[in-house]
Amino acid sequence: MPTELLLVLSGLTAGAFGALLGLGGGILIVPILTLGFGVPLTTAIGTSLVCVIATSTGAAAINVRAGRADVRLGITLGAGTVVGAATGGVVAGVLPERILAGLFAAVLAYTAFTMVRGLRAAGPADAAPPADPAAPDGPDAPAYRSHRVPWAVGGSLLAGNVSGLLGIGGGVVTVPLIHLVMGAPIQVAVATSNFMIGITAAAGAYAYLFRGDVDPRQAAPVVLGVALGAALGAGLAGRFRSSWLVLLFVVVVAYVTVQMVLRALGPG
Amino acid sequence: MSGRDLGPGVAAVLRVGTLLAVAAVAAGLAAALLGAGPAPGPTPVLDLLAGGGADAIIAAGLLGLTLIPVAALGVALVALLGSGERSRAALTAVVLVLLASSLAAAVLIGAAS
Repeated sequence: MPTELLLVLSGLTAGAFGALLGLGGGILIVPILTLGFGVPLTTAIGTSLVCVIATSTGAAAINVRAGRADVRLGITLGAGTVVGAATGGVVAGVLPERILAGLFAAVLAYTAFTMVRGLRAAGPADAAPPADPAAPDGPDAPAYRSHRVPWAVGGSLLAGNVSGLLGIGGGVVTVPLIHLVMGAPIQVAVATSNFMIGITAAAGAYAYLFRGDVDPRQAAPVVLGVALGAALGAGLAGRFRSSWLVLLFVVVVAYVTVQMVLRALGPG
Repeated sequence: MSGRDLGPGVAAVLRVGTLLAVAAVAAGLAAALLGAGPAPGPTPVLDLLAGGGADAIIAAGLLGLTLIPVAALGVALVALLGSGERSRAALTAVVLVLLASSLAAAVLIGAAS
């Protein structure tokens, strides 16, 4: 099979997976490119960031139109992730990566535990979110948008920071943040995260593109596959039961937790 | 009031932008597979654009893709200003300034290297 076709299929899988769960798909793209195609890590990360934007724009175009993504909430939290991503490099110079990876693994493990526990006590998660008559946005605004905003903005700073520091998508933090901390339905969390990750990834992608860390002939087929996969995943997300989305997400969070633990315990 | 619905404008920018960028990437890749020169490997996007040909079309598509979130935020900013949501409009403007700064820094660093 031609390499280009394999790259398209890899992108298709990553895009569908990313759009379905509110992630960028970078968790899959970086290892596929480095381990499967022998692409240098820096080039793989640069390509991955462009693909995260393709996942985000492709999925968000569908989610925003369908009313699943909360653009106002995405902008509020997006400000935190962009600032967090910008300061990631500064924090990286102060804290050893092993300590950061260990802290991040602990946060992820707690997140996975809380999400699984929440499944047992889940109410009508697929129902429309309640409105908040006292919300600053007006009586029609969903209650979650004004719920624990300072915590959510702080968490989005962390999401941007770990995205810049550890080379993973911020969605693994923002989806639980919107779902668990703010109380939004999982579909809203996934769709809003899809909108946000493109903004965060764009801040990082420019450096790779202008420095020459993206190979156009490798990136093109992956981007095409990702764009197709994102449209597919966003269409499927609205049809999935909330409990299935949460379970699938917990599996991904558990995988990233193991990776972070290995990085924390690995040679320094 | 809950403000103007941001959805239609933002969704239109995301949809049209993605279609245009992906079409450019697809056209460039097709041209490259149909007999363009040797693959350039990892190359700064400005050099690819200056070089012309299939790789320039791919580069234009990739660069265009990264600018879609900026365009979507720009449309959201106009809608927020129109509906009088000043604090959220200010937040959107801050995000746009941060993105513009990272773009400017990347251009400067890319030009210097």
